[in-house]
Amino acid sequence: MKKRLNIKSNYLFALIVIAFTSFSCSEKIFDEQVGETITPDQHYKSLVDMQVSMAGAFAPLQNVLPKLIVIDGLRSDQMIATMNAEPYLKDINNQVLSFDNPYLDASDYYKVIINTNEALANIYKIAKIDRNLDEYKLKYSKGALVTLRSWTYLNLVRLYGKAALIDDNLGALPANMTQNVLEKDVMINLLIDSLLPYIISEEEASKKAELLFINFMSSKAVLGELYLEKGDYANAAKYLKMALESYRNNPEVYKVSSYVNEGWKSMFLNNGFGTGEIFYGGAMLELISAISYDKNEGQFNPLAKWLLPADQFMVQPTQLLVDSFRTQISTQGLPGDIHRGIGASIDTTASGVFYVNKYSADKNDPFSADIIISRASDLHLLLAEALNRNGDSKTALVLLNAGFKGEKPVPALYNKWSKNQGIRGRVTLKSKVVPDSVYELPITADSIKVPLLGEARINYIEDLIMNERSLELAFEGKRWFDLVRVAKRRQDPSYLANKVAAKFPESEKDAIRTKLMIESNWYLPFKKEVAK
Amino acid sequence: MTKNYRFNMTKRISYSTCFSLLIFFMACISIQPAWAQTSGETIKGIVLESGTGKPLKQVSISVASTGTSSETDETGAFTIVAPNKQAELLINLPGYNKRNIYLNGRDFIHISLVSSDYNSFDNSYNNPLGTNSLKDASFSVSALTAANLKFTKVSSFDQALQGRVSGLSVIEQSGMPGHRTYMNIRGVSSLYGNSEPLLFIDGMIHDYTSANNSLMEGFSVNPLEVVDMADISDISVIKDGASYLGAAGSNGIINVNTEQKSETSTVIKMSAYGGMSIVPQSLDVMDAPQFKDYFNQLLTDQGLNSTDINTRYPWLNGDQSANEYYRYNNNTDWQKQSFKPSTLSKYHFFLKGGDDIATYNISTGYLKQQGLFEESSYSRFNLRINGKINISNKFSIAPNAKLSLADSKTPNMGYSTWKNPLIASLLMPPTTGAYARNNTTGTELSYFDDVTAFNVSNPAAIIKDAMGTNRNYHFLSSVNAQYKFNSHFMLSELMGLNFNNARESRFLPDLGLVKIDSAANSPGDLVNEFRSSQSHTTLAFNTKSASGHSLVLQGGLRYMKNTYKYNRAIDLNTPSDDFKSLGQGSKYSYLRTSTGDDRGLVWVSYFGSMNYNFRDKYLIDANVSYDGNSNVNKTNRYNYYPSVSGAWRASSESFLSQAKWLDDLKFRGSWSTTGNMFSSVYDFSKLYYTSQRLNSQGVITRASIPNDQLELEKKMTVNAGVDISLFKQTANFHVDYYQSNVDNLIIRQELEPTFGYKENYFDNGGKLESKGLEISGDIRLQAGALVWTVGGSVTQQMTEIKSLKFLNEATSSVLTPIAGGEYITSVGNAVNAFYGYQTDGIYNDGAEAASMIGPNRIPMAAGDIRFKDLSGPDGVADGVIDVNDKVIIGNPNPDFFGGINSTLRFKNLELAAYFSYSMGNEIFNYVRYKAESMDTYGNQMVSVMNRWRPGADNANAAMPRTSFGDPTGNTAFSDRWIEDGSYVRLKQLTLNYTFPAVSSLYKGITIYVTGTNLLTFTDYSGYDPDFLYSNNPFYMGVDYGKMPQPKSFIVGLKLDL
Repeated sequence: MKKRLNIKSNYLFALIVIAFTSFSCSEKIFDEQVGETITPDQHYKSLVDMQVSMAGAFAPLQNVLPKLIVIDGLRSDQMIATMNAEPYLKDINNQVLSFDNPYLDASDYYKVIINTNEALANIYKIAKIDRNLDEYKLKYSKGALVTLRSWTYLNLVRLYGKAALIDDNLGALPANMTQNVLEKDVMINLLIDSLLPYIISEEEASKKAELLFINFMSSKAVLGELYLEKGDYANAAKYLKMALESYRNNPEVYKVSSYVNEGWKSMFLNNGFGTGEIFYGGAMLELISAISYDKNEGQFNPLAKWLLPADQFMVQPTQLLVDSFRTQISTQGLPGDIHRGIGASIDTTASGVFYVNKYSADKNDPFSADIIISRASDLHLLLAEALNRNGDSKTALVLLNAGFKGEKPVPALYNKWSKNQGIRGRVTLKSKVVPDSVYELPITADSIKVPLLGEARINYIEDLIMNERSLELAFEGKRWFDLVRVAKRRQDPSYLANKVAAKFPESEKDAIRTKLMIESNWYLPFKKEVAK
Repeated sequence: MTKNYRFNMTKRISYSTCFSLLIFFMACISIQPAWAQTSGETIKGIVLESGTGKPLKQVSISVASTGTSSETDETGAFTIVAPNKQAELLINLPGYNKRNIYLNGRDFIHISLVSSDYNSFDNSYNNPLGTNSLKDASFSVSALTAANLKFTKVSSFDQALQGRVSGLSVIEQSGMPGHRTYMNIRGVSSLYGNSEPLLFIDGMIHDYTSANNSLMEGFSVNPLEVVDMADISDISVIKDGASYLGAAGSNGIINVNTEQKSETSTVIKMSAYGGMSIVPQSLDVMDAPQFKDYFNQLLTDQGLNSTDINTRYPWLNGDQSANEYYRYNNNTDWQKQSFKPSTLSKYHFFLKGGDDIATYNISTGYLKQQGLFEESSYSRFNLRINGKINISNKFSIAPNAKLSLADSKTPNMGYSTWKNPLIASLLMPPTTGAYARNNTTGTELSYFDDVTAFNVSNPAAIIKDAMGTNRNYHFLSSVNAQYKFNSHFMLSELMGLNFNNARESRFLPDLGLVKIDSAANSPGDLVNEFRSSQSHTTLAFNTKSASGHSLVLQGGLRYMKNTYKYNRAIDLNTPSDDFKSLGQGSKYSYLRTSTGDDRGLVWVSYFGSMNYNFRDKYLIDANVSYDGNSNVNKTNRYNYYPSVSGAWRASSESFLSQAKWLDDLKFRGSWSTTGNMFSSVYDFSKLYYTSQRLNSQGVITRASIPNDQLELEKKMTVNAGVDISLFKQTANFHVDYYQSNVDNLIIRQELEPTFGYKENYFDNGGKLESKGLEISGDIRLQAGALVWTVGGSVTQQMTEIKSLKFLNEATSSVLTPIAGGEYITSVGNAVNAFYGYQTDGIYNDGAEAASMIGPNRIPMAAGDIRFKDLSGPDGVADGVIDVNDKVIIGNPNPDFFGGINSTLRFKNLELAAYFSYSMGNEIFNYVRYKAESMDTYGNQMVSVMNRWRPGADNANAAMPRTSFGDPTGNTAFSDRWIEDGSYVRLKQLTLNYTFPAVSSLYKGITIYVTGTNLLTFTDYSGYDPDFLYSNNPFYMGVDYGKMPQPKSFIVGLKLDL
């Protein structure tokens, strides 16, 4: 027994060795970086971090927009699927909408929302460290993110009729997987409320330069569009007009004045939109928001693949739209929309096949073509729509036709709009005139003319605006939403059903029309139907 | 949050300290000698040689507790005085396995000794805790010695293990020399993590699963080549009970030890072999006339009439004046053209020496083997130096260093038909030739023919110019310091570094290769770097009482830090095929790709183990570890892994100890838990950002919705076994039955799109069960000088998904697409079963065919495959072949597998045969899928001659119609492409002769002839049923056309000086 006591010091030595080797067992030794991954505590330290995160929240739109454009065209009266189209696109063309259709997948929209929430949840940390992010800029940055989220939700509810409200950054999956799914109307109200605090008032903007986040949407424009969707035309008009008067209401910025370059279609040349940079003042005259691609950086705009005859050519313009361009009358009285029509929005191959040309303005590099999300003409026509509904059809027609440039005097409310050429005026098309009376519908041999008054007159002007939107904004992902909005406003599903059915051959028209007379068929499947 | 966490950590540390203290106190408890005896007993006995029954003289007999010793006489008899009839006797005779036997109440004892040439339960095995006797094992273990692995041509030991150990499945990746294998003990244990066993080489953990990156499809570096076959002394396979390795132990352990110096004198050993491999038997593809007929049919199908065909392909119909006539009128046997016999050789030199103070071993080897494709080859240099320095009689240091430099030159052996020479050789029409020909004279020119009208890559060009080179530098070094406090306590510290650096470069030429996306002339470079630094500290205590109680306690700490890094760059469009290096390519950055990763793993593990043994009769082992690693999220980082096992040696009980026919009967039972930390999927337990490009700017986005609750996959195994040894150890059997469960299997959840990141969410939502029966045995028969040993193993194992709990109620299974096919993982079935359509012949009637919408969503036509319309969205057949009609059409896992070995020895002449087999596994024959698709202009198998032809009598047609581009989907993944992959293969047949020793000149000379893969019995129609695309369970059983294992012959010489 005694011997054992002697060697106890050795045990102690052993224990010390073990203890010594185990001291290293602190938290730190496990802090191994996993590949090229950054954790939140490594990030959000400077303004640069904020910029890359904000741009990151925007980036999933690279996947969203091309699909949005094709879905819009195929579901509306602007595009049809060609023989080459893959079955999923043919399905969409035939209004067959299945949850498994990858073109209809909503996850990229929700990626935008989660990334926006992630940035919003962390952005305050930067304000603590980096003095360059003052309170005004912080508000503005948050506003930009909230706007991005609102735009995304607005599109989700327009596409799917409802959306899951995600109000945190999903740092973990909630214990209860049931999400808070809001119907379109509820969501729109919520979005309006969330956006209002971030609106930079005219007064505020006059004190400090209004920031512009390249690519990001204008919060006023999105708010205006939300009100328009809601049917609050006064507020819609108010905020859409404010959007067009941003950046110190510069008479050139967003005023549909001269072209950016030498022609209307030059708008679609790649603007090489940078990302995330903040700068003051409005350098852009026309574009408010666009998503960019760079083939050389490995991002390919898939529209070139889908649309161009030299490639897959799965989708092409409808004859209806081609005809619509061809039947426009110019100020000189000649037929055709020479600025926007054939050769611009649409082009033909040597063998006379029409194809969508808007995303191949730069023939050398269609894979790097930008996709415009929001531009001045869009807002002008939305403003005209809102004004028309709000009882100011005169201004609506001015915006649609020749603009304030020719108005003498320019109304006080539009005192800085002196360069505005109007949507049709800018592309040298004859102004649309609203007749005093029209033939009673349906027109027969003994139809009589009735005065165009009240609701009928408003609808007549609205039709003109909608028609103009279909030309000016062809293939920009707007048409289906326009049709749904107007059909709902007029409580007349046939407004949409007839227009879409018109692109189908006689034999298929009725089936499509019948299907689209049911409003629930206007929305994409939100959830997979589970076989019972 | 952080502060709170720190607090938790300190708590954890105190746990671990407590644990160390516990070990310390356990160590202080010593077993009191409670059964002390006073008077002595006279014990008599006889020692005979096992097998022959020959008496053995001069055998040393001693009593363990007293040291009293005796010796046998001429008749093998002995007498010795022991303190009592429970004493332990030690029996030793050089050239035979040492034995220790408890008397168990006997006063007369029959002892048989087994020559050390043969297996015996007295052999030892090695595990990471040290050396133990096989007969004392209470877990399921197997051991192999160098004798089991000799005379082979294989380049690394993993290949030699195939069929040798029950429960261990070894699948050869290909016949490419230097290739690696896929090893697996008792089935797949994880869907996204590693399922290969943990490897120890001379005490160091060798993480060989990481170096899977390669620019060459189907190739991965073999990190096991750092050990030369000739240096191995023993390999132990530990199938369960690895709880002392915690989160590293869930796939079992393979413990490899290299030879240490054991003799006292200087030893020099030399060995060399040389030989050759022969080309495999060709598959039956169409010859030139048959192909022309087929080609004409394809053109006719496309609506071309004979005039059109003549205009487009003027050379097709024998007009010698036609342009390119000579180019397209050859009759080349492309398989003969591609496969070439190859040579093999190896040299090895081994020197041992030293004295009582310091010993050294130096060995060096060089190996060169050619592949079956002319330019493919593998060469390797190995150097190993180890030694042991006894600084005092308590303290020793043993340094150990291994170095290997290996060069592999290999073509792409993957599913890209345009760069796989094997598939290209089958698809290249025989009418073409390897070299360009003069258009007017037909003379063969000196350069390769470019891509022909058939749009198949020129196999000769692939083999000559589209090779990749891998240079693998591997350095494994450690030092082991041991301090013996006294006979009871020992402290050991093993520290080491494992460094593996592989550099690859490959070039894809323009000439002769089909162009994908207009890109050609592509150089690529890859650098893989793996580094592991480790420390293993162990404090061991052992005590043994005279009355037969024996206790071993061990405790310690393991620390491992691994880093995995790779950089890969691929360039495109260099000016010509002569510019083969990076940077010569396109100025457009989008044509260049550079990828890389840098990962790390830190693992800290405290472990303790206890072995209690009472007179070899009752054995109890218990292990525990508490470990943490950096892979898993902080919340679930640390885990406990206990295990306990027991064994009862029934043959030592008094009622059996007198049975002369029974040498050993031992029942084993164990329960153990382990974890699986080797998986990158744990990344998804952390919230992190990843980079993306938006225009020219790098931006960051979220990587996923993290699952901070994600736990380490844990496996629980229950094992029951029995070891039997009969007739003086001439018949030995081992049976094990096990069941293991992974109750928190990680599965990928497909979330609703409304969660945005629907793809990369993982949770522990699955349950996996593996169970199996393992039987192995060997029998030795001796008649005079003739000894016949026959042994074998059968392993039956089944892995089944017991539960998959999906968050998305619309999901019920995991579908994984692979090139050409699809896997399904679903409840009640094996992991990754083939999932596709069933077929039922061919449509003869056009109207009937047209009523069925095929897999490509268009109606089928006459001559198309009749896919079975099993169901529809409403559960009834709906006239549409779609996802509702897919079923499990095959299981790539075998029903049972194993090996058989047989050795016939007459004096110094020995003939040894060794078979391995696999039964009931199914293969997706991708090669045939390409060579019977009839949808391209490539050549096809002869079988397509018996196809459905328009207007012909098609009653016996076995193949569908030709269908260029396959619009209707005849080639859709179906049971057409699934074959039975069962095989029995004579892996090795060796005849060797050892010359009787002449002491002055040499100690031994052995010459041998070995044939490898001489016979294969299989119904599989491909080249080789034993292959694997990559070490990933997601590629199990898919034959993408790798280099088949050739038949080869070597002649060798071993010389001991």
